[in-house]
Amino acid sequence: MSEIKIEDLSKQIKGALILDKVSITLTSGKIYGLRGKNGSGKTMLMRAMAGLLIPDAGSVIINGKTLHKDISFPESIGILIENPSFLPQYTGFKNLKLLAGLTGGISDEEIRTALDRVGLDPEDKRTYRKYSLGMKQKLGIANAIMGEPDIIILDEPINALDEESVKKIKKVLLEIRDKDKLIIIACHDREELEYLSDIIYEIKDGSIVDRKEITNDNA
Amino acid sequence: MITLKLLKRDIKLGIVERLILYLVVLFTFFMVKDCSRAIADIQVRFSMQSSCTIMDYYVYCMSGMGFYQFDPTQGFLIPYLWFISQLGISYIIAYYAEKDFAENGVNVMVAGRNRSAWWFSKVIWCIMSVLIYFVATFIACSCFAMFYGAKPSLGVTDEFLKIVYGYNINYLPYKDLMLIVFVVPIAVTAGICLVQMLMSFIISPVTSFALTCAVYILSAYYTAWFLPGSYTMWVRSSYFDVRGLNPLSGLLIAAFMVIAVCFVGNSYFEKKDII
Repeated sequence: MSEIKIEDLSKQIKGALILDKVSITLTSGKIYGLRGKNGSGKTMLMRAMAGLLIPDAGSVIINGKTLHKDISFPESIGILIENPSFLPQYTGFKNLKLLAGLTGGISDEEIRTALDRVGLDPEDKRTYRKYSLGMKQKLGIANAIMGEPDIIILDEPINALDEESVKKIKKVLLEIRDKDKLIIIACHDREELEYLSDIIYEIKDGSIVDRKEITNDNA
Repeated sequence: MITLKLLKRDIKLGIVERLILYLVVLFTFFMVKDCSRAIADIQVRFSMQSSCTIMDYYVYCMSGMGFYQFDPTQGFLIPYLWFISQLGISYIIAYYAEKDFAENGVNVMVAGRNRSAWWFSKVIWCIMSVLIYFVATFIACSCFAMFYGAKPSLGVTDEFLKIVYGYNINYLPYKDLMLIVFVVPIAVTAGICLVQMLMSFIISPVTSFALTCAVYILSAYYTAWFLPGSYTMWVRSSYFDVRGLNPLSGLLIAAFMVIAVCFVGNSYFEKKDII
């Protein structure tokens, strides 16, 4: 059971207010959607939850531990923020293996499973630099879901993916959610976001302006 | 533990996979050639009895230049081989850490879950790069020296050094010679490289590299305790010149740079937004 509690979170970058007193609580077993225009603050809110952004005011509390006070980063998290970036000279498997080595507790088998689930061949000998845009995106998702961490944050996960791959990713995300994991997604595609999400937050000018519960038959 | 895991990654990506950059040490060939010419000249003029060792060649090559005093009739000529030698390692460490942060910072930080460990791994990587660079320089210099007929010995030839530097090396214990030829230059260079690495994050790698070049040029022109480049030229040591720099102050400055970079860098990364 994971919980992210955000209390009055504010952040300014170069004089511009990008997050303005955001307060939300997210719990596991659900997929949360973040919707808003470009520059509304979706990605920054995700970065703040991942421990990448240092708040000016307010706090992000993960399972009772305050980020940047009790912990530097969430203890079990997988993220894909904007364009994925990996070492170009290595294969997808090798890239994930290096990162799994840092995280600890993720076996080769789990890496292969993650790659397979997103539609990448774990035995593919091509290096990352030879990957297509869609393959790079899939590798980013595989990195976020490998080992099935308690919290998964995905910023525009279906960008550059074909229809079949989108279906596959949606299925994977719903499976992971049903294992009582907390998933947060930002997506421009309104239809896809509503299909995947249980709750959608609308963000405008760095503030949460709306919360909408979705009832659909994706379960 | 996580620092060790990150360090293993930095050694692999930042040293092993970039070994080709260390070929810059081949510039020592020109130093050795100069040295060989000097030895041939000395042998003719002074009827030097003993032949030189690889250590003589290394000591000669890494000497830098003595105190520069402004002379309107003569321009300032930077000791270009010393300059290339120092810039070689500055170039090797210039881009890796900043590029790694910009390209893989998000994935690596989140996977490692520790900002301090990430920074300390980069600090250790930088110091290791400097050490490897000096070892590679010594090996390259020794190989070229042997090609020119040097004895494969780590001893120094008193006669040669006395003629070249006007100083009887017998007065200088071997351990002190090692201190000023190896320990102080390596320690100070490591300190300079660490400051450069930190500045590459705060300003940019290119500007930081340019500033390092400027510090070395100023150090060649002026000899001052606060210009660290001077400590990398052992002929400016107080052992060889009464106006010279105390090697211990070089070690203190190096220690100060290392400690300051550790603390400032740690505090910088603890507060840095990764965007």
